Amino acid sequence: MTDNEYRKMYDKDPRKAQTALFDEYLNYVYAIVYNKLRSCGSREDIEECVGDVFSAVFISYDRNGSFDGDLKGLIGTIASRTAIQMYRKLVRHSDTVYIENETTKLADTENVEENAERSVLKNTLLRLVNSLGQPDSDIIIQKYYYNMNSNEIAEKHSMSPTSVRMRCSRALKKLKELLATEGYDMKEGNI
Amino acid sequence: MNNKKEIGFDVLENADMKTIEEIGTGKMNIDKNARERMLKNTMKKYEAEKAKLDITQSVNTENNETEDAVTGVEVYSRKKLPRIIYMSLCSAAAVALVGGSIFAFSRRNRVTPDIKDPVVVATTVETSTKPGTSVTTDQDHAVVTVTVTGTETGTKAAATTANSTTTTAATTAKAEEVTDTETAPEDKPAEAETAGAYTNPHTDREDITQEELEAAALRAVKEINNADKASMPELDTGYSFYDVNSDSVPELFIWNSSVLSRKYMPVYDGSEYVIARFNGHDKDGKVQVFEVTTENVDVFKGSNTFGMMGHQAGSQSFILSLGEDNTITPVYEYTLYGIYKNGESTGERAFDSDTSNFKDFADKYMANNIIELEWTIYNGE
Repeated sequence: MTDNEYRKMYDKDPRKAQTALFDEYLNYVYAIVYNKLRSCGSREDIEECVGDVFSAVFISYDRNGSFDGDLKGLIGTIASRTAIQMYRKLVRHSDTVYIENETTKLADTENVEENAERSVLKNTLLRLVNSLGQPDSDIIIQKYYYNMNSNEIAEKHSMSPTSVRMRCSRALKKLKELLATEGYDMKEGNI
Repeated sequence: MNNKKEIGFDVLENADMKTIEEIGTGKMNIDKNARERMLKNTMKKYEAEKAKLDITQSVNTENNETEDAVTGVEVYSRKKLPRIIYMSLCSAAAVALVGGSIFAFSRRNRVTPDIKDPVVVATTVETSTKPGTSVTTDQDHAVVTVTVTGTETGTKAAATTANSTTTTAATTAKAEEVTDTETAPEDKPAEAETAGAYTNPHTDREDITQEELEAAALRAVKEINNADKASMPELDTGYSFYDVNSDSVPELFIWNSSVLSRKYMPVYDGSEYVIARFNGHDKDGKVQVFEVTTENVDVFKGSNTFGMMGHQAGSQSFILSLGEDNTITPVYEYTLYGIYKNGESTGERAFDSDTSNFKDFADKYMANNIIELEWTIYNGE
């Protein structure tokens, strides 16, 4: 959906336009929010934050009368910003450190090395997961990053839960081998 | 011995947009019920925010009809003679305030001579705050001063962990020493604490030069810019000076250009600009220390007050007063969880769908002449 398409639809029926935009970008927003709140927020917190994001997007349009350019970019920016705010709220009530402290720390020159190492780890993991090929790479991400159960993954891939479990087990074994050849061990807590 | 490095899926958290796209944004399973729940919640939030927006715009329009718009740049210049006059006035005001307080407290004590059994209230103070002084008042408006000497660890602790806790009962000649106990107010919910002034670091130095302030400002801007850019590389950052409290040392204002823009107001402590903090309330009515940072931080012309207007993720809005010693006193607090005037609960609550009380707040907020600051864009050097 483009800015223009949304405007036309909004002029006819605002609620319909908002619902259409919500449906088109729900997965995108959810993925961004999930990425920020995965370790500190509950499912309810994530859903709450998704609501904040879309509400802010709609308000932004009402205020400006347009999305002023790249709609996806704008939604991504709002989602990222809102999720960080939610993160700050959530960690205030836990022992987790503030994200701003973390990012400040990472931005510090003394931690450039640590930052670079984290980036290498991230890229390595994604590269090796992708090397598993479809649908195994998706199944691994769904199982260990999105924490979906076998039934949910099976529904997504039109497979039986048993097939998902088997594929997942084999893919994980292969991923561990690939990681080992590059000098890494899989963290136990992530399996 | 195994020298291999460990790797887990947690390394993918808090990633940039490119990585999130690589992970895949359409792989999770959002069922129909979850979709319905989120859509309903979204529309509920949207309607509430829209109502607030309408009220704000309506109030703004009303004000604009009768008042001239305030535009232009407030040029900072160090004041010498006005400062002397200002200090004299402040001294007179302080004497009047102390006298008035003693009178008010003594009257209040005559009405309620008996103090109920003390209820222990753990005043939450986050140790992420830099050293400063938080002042709250108990039921009898006795001043409770909590000096925080924690380090910025991001963890939090109850006020009982503060290095020193002292109480000054400004009533009659009798001053009772209280450590960490306060009495529950009779006319308010037990949880609703009174938020007093929060003293931020400040300086009495007279030899501060504009060059020194510029250098300190750039350090603060750089730190915030780097922190925010780590998650949002496309951000622009700007800064501006304005002396809110007329102490001849301008406060720094930092702005980020994201869609939900963020502003900060650091104060100068003699060597660095540090984010100002103040006492507000959490959702349980407990006093909580907040930082002066939200979507909008507005300076009001002709007074030492400023406003913070948030519109998402908490809908917390404040009108605050900045003293000459960088003490921030809450004037009006409007959040989703409660409404507070001069730090005390009005007993009203502001739910998502109920914006009737917001108009009063917006009226007060918009009645001020909001100064348009001139921003210098930070170019990263």
